[in-house]
Amino acid sequence: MTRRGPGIVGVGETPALRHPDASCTTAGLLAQAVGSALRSANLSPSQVDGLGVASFTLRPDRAIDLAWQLGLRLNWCMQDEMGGASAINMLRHAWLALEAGHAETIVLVAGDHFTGADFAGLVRGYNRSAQEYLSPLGCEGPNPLFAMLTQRQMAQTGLRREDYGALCVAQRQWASANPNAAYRQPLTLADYLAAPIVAPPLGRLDCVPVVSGASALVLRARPQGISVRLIASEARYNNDQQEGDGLQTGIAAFAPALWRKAGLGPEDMDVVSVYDDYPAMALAQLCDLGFTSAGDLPGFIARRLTTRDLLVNTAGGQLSAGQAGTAGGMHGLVEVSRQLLGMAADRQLHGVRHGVVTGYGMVQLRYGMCANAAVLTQEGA
Amino acid sequence: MSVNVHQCRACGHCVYPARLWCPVCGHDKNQPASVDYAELVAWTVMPQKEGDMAPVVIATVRGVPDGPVMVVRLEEMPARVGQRLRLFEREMQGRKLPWAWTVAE
Ligand SMILES: [Zn+2]
Repeated sequence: MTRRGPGIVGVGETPALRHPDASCTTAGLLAQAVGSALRSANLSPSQVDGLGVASFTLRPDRAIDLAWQLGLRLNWCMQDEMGGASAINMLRHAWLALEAGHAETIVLVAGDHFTGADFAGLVRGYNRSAQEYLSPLGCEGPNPLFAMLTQRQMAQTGLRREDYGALCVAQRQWASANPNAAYRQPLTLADYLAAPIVAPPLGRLDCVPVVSGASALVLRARPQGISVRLIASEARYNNDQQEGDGLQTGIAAFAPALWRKAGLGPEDMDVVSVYDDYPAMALAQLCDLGFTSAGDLPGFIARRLTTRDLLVNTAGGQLSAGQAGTAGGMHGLVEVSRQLLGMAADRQLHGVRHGVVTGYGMVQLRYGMCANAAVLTQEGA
Repeated sequence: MSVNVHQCRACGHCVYPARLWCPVCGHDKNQPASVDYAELVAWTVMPQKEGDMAPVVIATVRGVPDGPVMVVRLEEMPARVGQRLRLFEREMQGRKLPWAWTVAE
């Protein structure tokens, strides 16, 4: 028997807080997620020798400052600020580190605590192009950019607002079983359509609610018992130099290689998480992964998403659970890992063995320039 | 009446805003080039804030004939995708930024 490789052994997540109290801090939220992930894996902080951190609001502190605050002694440490692509980026690096023997037990954590002013400052000055070319023009934050992208996707695919609404309603149904989700009350299509328009064609319910929170994952070089194995991962960064149409993400470029390496295809996936900063992008990624084609999106939503024939964003996604800054990408990775580990309690899906997770983000001028994905599979005891 | 973009001195590829190296050929020198007209690709309207005299209309446009795709501000509400626009620069917060108005057809 060949020696088993590394595995994901535990997950942890804080509640998504819309109105955290005054004592809430980024470091405190990250610590809470790390603690719950370690408890789920029956590990103590003294066993951790690797730490990866993604956060916009931990500044001026960095990953190593968090290690000091948590009392961790490390052989491996990394920091990542690629937002929605951070979780899978860190997973890919951590996996190689474990295989290379650089660490035995790595915790990956992502999260942010936002005050209203923190968030306004983050979006206005997200990067140099936002700061110098978009915000001064009156184009503030990602909503107007993804509104224009959604408008083009509607023209290209025939999607109507009702179709995006059906996706949002389906995700809200999943969120109802996630005690950490920001929004759990049922959503109807009528509610969706009645929500105020924020940047046409986007309504308020097309935009992720900003929350404070954190998500974490524990990986071990030589896991015991049930674990989750990374069987394939791919990434594209600045794939099209922002000169493409943005309706296709970097995932389209690597999907054939991803599935070939996994030895599995979209049809083998029992649980799926796609990065849902906006419904248009969740759909673009499902197309790019090969779950459907751009020509059949309205039918795909009706046949496979609203019916739960395809299990997508089963914790509610960011559209209902909330987007805690850089924790956004980690939210989906944690949910798929949790389902494959059998740790999802009341919302545990049955018979799930394989899953795929995507990351997307870091808007430069018009749309996200980072895309990555991981195919995960459950390994038995 | 035009918008200044940045043209690679080696291959002629135009970008906006400027980059350090040309995304097509990797050359590190560019020259100014002006683009007069654009075609409307998509547009949206920002939520009106206190002090806004008129709705803030943001658009994605493609320079004509082969200018870069840019995010610009529109003087008025456009009529349709594919519409021809006249580009110009307006100083905002100390920086010349691209604007456009619609061209009668
Ligand atoms: Zn060039």
